[in-house]
Amino acid sequence: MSLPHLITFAILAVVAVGSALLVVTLRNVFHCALFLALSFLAVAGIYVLLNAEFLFAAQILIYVGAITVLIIFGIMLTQGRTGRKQRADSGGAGSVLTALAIAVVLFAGILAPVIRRVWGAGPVPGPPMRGTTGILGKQLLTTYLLPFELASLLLLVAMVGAIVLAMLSDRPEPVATVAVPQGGESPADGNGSRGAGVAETLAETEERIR
Amino acid sequence: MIPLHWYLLLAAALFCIGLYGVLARRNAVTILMGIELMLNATNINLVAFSRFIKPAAASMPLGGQSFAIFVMTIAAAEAAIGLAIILTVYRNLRHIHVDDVDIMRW
Repeated sequence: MSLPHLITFAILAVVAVGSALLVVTLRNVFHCALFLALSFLAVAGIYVLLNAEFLFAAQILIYVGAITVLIIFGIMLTQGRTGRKQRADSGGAGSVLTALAIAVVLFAGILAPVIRRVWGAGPVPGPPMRGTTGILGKQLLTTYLLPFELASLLLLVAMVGAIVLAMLSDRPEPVATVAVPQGGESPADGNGSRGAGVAETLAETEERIR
Repeated sequence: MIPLHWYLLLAAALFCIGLYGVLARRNAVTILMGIELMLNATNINLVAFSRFIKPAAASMPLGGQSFAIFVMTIAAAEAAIGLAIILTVYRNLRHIHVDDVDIMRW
């Protein structure tokens, strides 16, 4: 175990765990989001230690760049600009203690087998693979082609869903348009009319966008 | 090289912190942050195993990293949908305190 590796790992691990602890304990939601970004950055460093360059870049682009910014947008849209309007309050003492107990028991349950086994006698990694990005790309488009395409479909659905959800809530009565089927109709008719209701709502939304 | 245990323990610590956040917090946005922490911890596990354990099939030399990419995709989709739902709740109720979001309870 080389010393530079060890020092780097220790720093990254302390930053990741420390800022994660701040994320779940701080009162100001905005500060929580910033420490979340710091934790993600430290985890990106861990990926470099594990010879996963592509995941390092993806982690910074997706987690630090996209998800954190999305969360900050969410905070600004729902709790005022500084996060002071609604504090990130925890539940009562009972629920905090329950959550703490569950988390500690889970961690102890993971820790115990590791401690009981001989410390340090784990699998030894092979020599670091060169050019993992190319291998990863080839693998994603051959072995994992179907999951890859499904993931793109999922992203499309999520995008459309997020837009529709965020748009519809502007309407005065969002629920009324998606008509509940009448009592006398057969289930098939009910589904049909509900589908028509959704289509109608979508069309109205499109008009409003224009 | 750092032993595999250390990566696994780091991931376990991050996962448990995220779990605590999900269970203890009452603000919907911070609950979402806890979920992101947990997903991140599983990613560390996947990448560490992919580095340390030689895969059985030769056709997938980096299976763990591919899985981590899919987890990131799911996390991004989940964050987008989750925040849209939170936004909708906020517009209807003027707060996102999850204990008081009970209008769908019968």
